[in-house]
Amino acid sequence: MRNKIYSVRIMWIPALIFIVFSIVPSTVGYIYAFTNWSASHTEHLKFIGLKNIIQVLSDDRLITAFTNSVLYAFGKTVIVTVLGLLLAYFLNRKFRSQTALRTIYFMPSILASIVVGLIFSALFQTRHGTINGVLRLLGGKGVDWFGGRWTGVSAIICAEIWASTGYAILITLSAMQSIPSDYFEAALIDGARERQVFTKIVLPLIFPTINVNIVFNIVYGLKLFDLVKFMTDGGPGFATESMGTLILREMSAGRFAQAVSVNLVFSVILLIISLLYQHFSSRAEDALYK
Amino acid sequence: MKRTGKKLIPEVVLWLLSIFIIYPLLMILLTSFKSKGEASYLNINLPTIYHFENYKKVIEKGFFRSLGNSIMVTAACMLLTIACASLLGFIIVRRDTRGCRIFYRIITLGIIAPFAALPTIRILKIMSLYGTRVGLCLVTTALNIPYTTMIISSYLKSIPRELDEAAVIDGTSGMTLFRRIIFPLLKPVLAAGLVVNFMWTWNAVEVPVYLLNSSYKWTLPLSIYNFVGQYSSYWNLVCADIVLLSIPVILLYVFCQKLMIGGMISGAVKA
Repeated sequence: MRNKIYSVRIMWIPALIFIVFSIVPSTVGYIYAFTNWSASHTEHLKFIGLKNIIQVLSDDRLITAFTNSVLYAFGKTVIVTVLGLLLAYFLNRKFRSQTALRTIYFMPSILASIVVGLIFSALFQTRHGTINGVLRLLGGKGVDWFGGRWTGVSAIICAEIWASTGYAILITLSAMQSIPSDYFEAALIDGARERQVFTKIVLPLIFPTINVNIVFNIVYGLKLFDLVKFMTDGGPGFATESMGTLILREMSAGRFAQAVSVNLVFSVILLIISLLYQHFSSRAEDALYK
Repeated sequence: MKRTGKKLIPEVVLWLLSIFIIYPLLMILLTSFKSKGEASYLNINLPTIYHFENYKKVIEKGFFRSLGNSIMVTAACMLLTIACASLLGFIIVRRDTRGCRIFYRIITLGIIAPFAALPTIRILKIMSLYGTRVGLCLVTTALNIPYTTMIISSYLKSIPRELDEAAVIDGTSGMTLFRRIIFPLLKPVLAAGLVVNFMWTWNAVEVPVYLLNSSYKWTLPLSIYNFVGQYSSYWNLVCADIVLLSIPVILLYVFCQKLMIGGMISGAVKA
């Protein structure tokens, strides 16, 4: 009966679009990692086994790109989560300009990455950038931010934080507002202090929501492409490259099979990290509720 | 007296911190009206003369062509994604068989998986869709389906099945049931989904970079990136370009703030 009413035929075309343009490339499509596909060799491809994968894995650039991606993901996630929690906690109180403040804090989340990238290229610019201006004002020296690996990575992480804190605030805020107010009243009657209310009531109740946001932040951080492309283009050399931009770099150099290999390694890493995180966070969740 | 003081402090601190957001945005807006020399200082001093012709210069450099591409691609992707995701959600949630649940898991894995750039290009080449806007739309839709299906499905679960059953007794099923009963009820979540998809597709860079090979098909973000490469020392023109790109999204944010925020956070809150 149910099969007749909700016939699978209805979702054929949508499912086909998803399978052909998403599932097939990211599963069967990785078969090209094991071929000799390159700019000069596009027809009659031959299988050459694990040669590309081994070559890519032993390449310094992959290790650099991987560590950078991990920094982009975890550096941003930690700071954004803490900032989101703090600012949401204060924004949750009732005062008159609350709506205006929320509107302002969420603003960066809707801007295109090219806008964020250019804003931060301007702020971190060596000669006239605001950051160096402030440093000079405080008696320090200007820094050539995009001239070195760690300064470049930090500048990119700053841009990420600026762009995604508003989103974290709103998610945390909406989780806080979904807590029934009688919980707080009951706690007040029992004589709980503000800090106790926060750690014993608010935190455990909003943890599942924050957790989802952490997963999103880690996944999107590992996948970071645009900001690196616009702010440093992976430079100097390949010092600030992320996994995403490394794929484009390999492709532009005509090493197609190597690009697919990097993509495959990247996709396996993402899968492992997100599964590991889910495993450990469900344990943390259990611990928090006991 | 003490109570109001205690209440005021977080408000004041929050306003002080908001400078971190307002300052850069103001800098971009003001720089877009400056002369080239003044613009290079990248500060928030008011321009001595307002150069509105910066915008004219930017528009003359092929702005309308990329705007047309952006509008076309974004509109097509939004509608196609919403249509696909709502039908997928409808069948998966209502059938609720083991196969459907597995397929749903696979769809949500699409949020984690990175964009498989070259394999996608290869497939598009086989279908002779590489470098076309149609190909870009189909791939973007496939990549936006996971999140959109997720928010639509969680909303669908809150619509009682009894509504379907009443209609089924009257003899409707399949597409008719979807059109007459489910679709009208889904309107709030579909609106939120449309707004979110608009924003993502309008701002998207990674997929268009790989899939569009000729400049006359470029969407706005790509043409701006190219423009920055050519006129990197003209911060006034670059900023004018940024402002033009952001206007549609900001207008949408001002007028549909609830829908936009709702659409963006419902994936995390209801999951």
